[in-house]
Amino acid sequence: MIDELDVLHGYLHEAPHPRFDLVAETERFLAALRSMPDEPDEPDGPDEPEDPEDSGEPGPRRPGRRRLTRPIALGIGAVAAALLLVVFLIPGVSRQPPLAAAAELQQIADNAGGQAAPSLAAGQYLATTERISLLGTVSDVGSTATPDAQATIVGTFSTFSDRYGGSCIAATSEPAQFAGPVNSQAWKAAGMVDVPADQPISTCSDASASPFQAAPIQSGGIIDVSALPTDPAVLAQQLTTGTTAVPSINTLEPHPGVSAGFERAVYLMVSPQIGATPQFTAALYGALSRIPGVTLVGQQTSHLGVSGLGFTGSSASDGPMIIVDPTDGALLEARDISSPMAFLGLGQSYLAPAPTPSIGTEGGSGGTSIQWLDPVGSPTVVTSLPDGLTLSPPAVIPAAIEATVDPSVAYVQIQPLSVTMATRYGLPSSAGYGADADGRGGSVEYDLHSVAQMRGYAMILEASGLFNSFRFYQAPGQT
Amino acid sequence: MGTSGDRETSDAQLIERSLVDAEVFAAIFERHAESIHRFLWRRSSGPAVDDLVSDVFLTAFRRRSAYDVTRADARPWLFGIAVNVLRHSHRSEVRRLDRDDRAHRAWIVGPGDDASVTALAGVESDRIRVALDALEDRQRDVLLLLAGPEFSYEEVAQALEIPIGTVRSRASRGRDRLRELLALDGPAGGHDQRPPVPLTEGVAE
Repeated sequence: MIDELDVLHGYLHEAPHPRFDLVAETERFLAALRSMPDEPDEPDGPDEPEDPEDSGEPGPRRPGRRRLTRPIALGIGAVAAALLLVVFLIPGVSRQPPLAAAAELQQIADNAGGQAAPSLAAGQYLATTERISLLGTVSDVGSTATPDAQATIVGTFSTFSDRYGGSCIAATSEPAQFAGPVNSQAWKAAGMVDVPADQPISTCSDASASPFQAAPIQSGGIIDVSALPTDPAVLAQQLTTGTTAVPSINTLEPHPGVSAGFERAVYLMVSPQIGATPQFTAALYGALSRIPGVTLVGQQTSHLGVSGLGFTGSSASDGPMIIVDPTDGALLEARDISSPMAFLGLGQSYLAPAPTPSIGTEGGSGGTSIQWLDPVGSPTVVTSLPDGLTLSPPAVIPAAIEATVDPSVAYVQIQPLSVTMATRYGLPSSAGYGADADGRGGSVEYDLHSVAQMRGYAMILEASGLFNSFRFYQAPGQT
Repeated sequence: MGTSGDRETSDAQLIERSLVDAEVFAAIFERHAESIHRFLWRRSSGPAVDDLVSDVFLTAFRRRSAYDVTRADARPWLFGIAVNVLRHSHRSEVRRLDRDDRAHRAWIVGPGDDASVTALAGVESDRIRVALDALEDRQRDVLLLLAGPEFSYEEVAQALEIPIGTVRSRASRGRDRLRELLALDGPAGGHDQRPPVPLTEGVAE
């Protein structure tokens, strides 16, 4: 009789194990230690309540334990949970009476559509950089309101995208600025710091290699605008009614008195994005020209000192506004707008490290809104990424199968098929399974090394009766 | 670090010294990082395992003031943290996938897997991995600690901070369940009366 623990032991110990560079890893660990505050933290409690069905004698006790008692509560997630829509009055902006906004926007659309589309070769990346000023606010800590805990956060936000749809973002926040001492004190009392830690913050997402699974339209705050319509009338209708393919745009709560279509369009403009083309930019301005309530403010100057035409979607003098270069449609500045999720990380950089009693230990809420956002120059093509960022081209897949699982079928029923197919025809290059919420149904995908292997897999999958439909992919030139 | 890491110095002594000189804790890393790495590697997805090892030891470092210095060997404590880190890393992955509108996608053979593994070994590994995934968290934790670092029931109890009787009952249920899932020969045994999972449905091997 085979013992299941022996099987498990073999699984854990007998398989090839990658080399572990102890010297290098110890050095890395030491470096991490040196960057940490030396104040020891409290241990977490048990992960879950004990199983009432479990029986047994009392557990081990730890004599002589030395503890630092401090309440632990979630706070970081709570900070990101609430977006505050804070209106910030920019002094010195004089609004002219509304002019023919639709005509101006249509002209800008025409100009934007005539721009050259950036072309990327392998190993090239499209780089964009923005200067951004956020109003960071901590609303409450624990059960206490903190109305004065506000700071201006200025930072630089860069996006890099490759020709395949992969992208990286890198952001650096500068020391917080305060309107007065009371704000500074309240900010620190809420558990925030003046100088953000761990700068810059960055993340990368490679393009999807699957021939069946389209990349998500929004991933990590980056929006793939290539999936949005380029018909301005259709785009205008989707923005106005909140029916785009981007959930975070649809659920955006506009400022009171502001055109929802305008605010959604601006949210889209300022979000880090991939897949933009001159046709899409033209469609966006064409859509704005069709959205009710959008008016021309007149000549305006951005915080970086560049002049252009201002447009607003508000009847108030201090509503959201964009400044646009009318010659090519380039966005010069966006003011007083809701903060896309991509910028939330900038605010979270100011959370004080434990064990400071703070929003991070007692819970609370807060958020950020954009005071102004200025693109720096035009998008440029670069041949390298900043240190620490990597983007890999998608793997070449000669053949693949996607099968739709019958809704009554669970994963454990499919698994023996994978074993059988791999035994007879070899392992796939990769395989994925996505179930519905109840753990059944969904689809399975096998990326394979050859068309012959695909035929073998197909035969077994089709004979199983566990699937309702199939899709097959064969790369060009594969027979 | 000097000679802090010599083998005559117990883990507990090193941890106690690290409260005064933080860098002494690197000796704990040197002693145990490789075994933690091996343990985590089979239950995580390839390149991320180095980061998980760091997470384990940085978490241990932050919690070191609560370490029971009457326990000379820190392995149960470290592997207990490793089990928690593993669980949280899986949850983080699920959350990330949810955010990307790719809910409940679970890669079962990924590009990061070692291509040198023979087909049959890979298949068997895949089968065991899936069976482990199908276990309840609490049963999986116990079995991994029994089979991985080969802890005694008492050491598992220390690692998970649960009573030794609870370890025994979870181990018993987990073994029964694993036997069902792996469709091993012989009686399932134990007290679990649940029907076996229909692993043999579909195409028979």
